[in-house]
Amino acid sequence: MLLELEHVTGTNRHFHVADVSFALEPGFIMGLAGKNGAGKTTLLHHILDKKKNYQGTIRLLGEDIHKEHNNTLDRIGFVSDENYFLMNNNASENARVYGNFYSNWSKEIFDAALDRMEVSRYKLLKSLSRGEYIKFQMAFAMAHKPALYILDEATAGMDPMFRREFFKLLLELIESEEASVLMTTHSTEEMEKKMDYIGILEKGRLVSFQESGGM
Amino acid sequence: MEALKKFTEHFGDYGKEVMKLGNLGNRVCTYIFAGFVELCMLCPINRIISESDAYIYFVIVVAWAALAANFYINHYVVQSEEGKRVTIYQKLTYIPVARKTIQEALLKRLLRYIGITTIIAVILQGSMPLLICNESIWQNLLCAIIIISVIPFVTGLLLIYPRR
Repeated sequence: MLLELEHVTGTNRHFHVADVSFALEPGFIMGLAGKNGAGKTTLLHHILDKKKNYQGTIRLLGEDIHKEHNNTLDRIGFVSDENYFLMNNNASENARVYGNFYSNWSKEIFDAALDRMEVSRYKLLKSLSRGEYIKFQMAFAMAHKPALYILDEATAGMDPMFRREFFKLLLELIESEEASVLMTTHSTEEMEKKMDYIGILEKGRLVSFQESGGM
Repeated sequence: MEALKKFTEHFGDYGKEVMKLGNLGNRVCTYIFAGFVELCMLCPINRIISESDAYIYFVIVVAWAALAANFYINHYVVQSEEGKRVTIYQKLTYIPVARKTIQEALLKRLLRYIGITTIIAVILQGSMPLLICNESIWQNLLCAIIIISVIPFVTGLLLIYPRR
């Protein structure tokens, strides 16, 4: 298994998840759906945050993620609205200062991904549109070859043309690199057509976990 | 860790804030205030205090020392991004580097600064009293070390280990 959650219960940033368990194999896209405040982002942060704020177990590639959390972050590509990059610098500068932290970082992959997604590497991040910023983060994530891509509402506000291209890109990634994707979304169309598994959260509980065809 | 060293260097010059000076401006201010403090070490501390009959001298030198340490380390920890304060810890939240490692790197930077200024101060404060008055050499050295090492160290610690 690539990602396993067992009875994860905990509060983070004022939101709560309770007794969430599921497993994700390599090569699949899993969507997390639910109303605002259902705990989708909270669950992602339990995986990403350096401090363990939950009970239960989360394993990435068989290892407890908080046993050596730096190794976990080295294997995760995170794409979200959060401004954890240097917004007053351009994409190239960000890649230069952040890329060094990753063991599998490749500048060539980063440049190729930016070119493919048509994002300028010389524009300041703060002047990029939301869609361009998401694309930049995707390129950055691809460049360190993660085992798991975590996308927090990445496709929200994307134009339909690029959205199609984006999912094509995700499919290529999970096929060629044996990675998986865990993403939150509000789009039912995306859930039905683009994802392999859907988990539905309601008031912090995983009330449904099934293949997307069964929706 | 080389990646962290490069990142802190970059972050030090990132927003040209919090004091709108950038890395170079902060360094210049550090040298100015550290220089004032070192100049004070040219005179035996006990003699200045007894002659001026006031401890205001001591307070001013302590303030300069604290200010120099603040200029030296603050911009490596906090910067400004579109008018908002951002810390190096926030910027490295999802990056594979531990908070403790960041703090150790910043602490190492602070200790290197303190080490250099203390060596200069001890030489000055040790040699000048010997020439002028050698009766209070240990007290003067102790005062010099408190001003030059302990005050900047405490100032730096407060900046590097902020309350969350």
